Amino acid sequence: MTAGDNLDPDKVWATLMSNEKPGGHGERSVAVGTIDMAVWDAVAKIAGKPLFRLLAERHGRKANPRVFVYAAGGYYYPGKDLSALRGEMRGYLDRGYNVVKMKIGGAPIAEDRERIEAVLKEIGNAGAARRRRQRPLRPGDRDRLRQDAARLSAVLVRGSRRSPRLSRCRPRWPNSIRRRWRPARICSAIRMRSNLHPLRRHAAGPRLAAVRLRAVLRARANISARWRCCRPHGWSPQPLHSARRPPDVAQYRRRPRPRRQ
Amino acid sequence: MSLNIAAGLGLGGNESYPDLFQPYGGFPDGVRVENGHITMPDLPGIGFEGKSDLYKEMKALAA
Repeated sequence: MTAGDNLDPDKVWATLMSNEKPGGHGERSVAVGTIDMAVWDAVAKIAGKPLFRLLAERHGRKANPRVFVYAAGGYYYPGKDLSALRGEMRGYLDRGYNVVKMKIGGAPIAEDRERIEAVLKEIGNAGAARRRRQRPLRPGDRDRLRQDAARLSAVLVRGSRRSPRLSRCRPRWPNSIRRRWRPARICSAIRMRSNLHPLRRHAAGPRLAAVRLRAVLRARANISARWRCCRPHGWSPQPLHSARRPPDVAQYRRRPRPRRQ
Repeated sequence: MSLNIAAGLGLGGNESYPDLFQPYGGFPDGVRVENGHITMPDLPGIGFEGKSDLYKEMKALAA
């Protein structure tokens, strides 16, 4: 491609974003994003190739047309019972998916627990035939896990037929977070990985899954008990600073260190 | 768009809505999920034209 025979998406972007305030304007970004998408579509069409190939070339990569995808759903609907939820998840597995996402945090914790268990039962059975041995917990796992949970996105790994234990909920936030403030929002959805997932051998065992789940459910419990004004919102792994609320200083102030004699 | 970004830049995967948010959700016609993966069709651009129910709406708006 030579200069002058195609649109320059970067220049278009720069024009669209001129005079934009730092951080961006909420409503404007929707319009800008829509135009940006149309521009990239046009650029790829002028170049006569799929956009993913164009992007790969521009970044000096080899395009891989094979992409991992997961099915998002598991929404709350009036009258949608557990069997409907299970049927939905079954439908995704039947269509070739092996990771599904469902909403949580929009119902009382007991109800969500039942929903989670129901879906685990559904997707767990699909993978039961291909169970692999779990690798043991490694020292860094728990820290990573806590970070994951704190990043508001929880992936449930169905490791065995035994369900993660939901009864013992203990908060497991990293100390660095707990010290300052707890996240006000945790997540409104969780992803679940069926045993069929090819990456499963890298995944941690049911124990980790249980810890993750505990963290999420516990956080949910905290929200309902303490911060009724806060609703879990958005599935994306959002940075904590966007999800926090001002700390309750009295509650979270660090204890003064004892003076050395 | 995000699927193209994920495929082109090798970002590891993408969310999909096979049932929700139609006609936007899902993939172009003929694309099947196999073992949790899809293969991008060789459609020029983003590939909206390959999803007939979506393209029908787009054409109606453009007319």
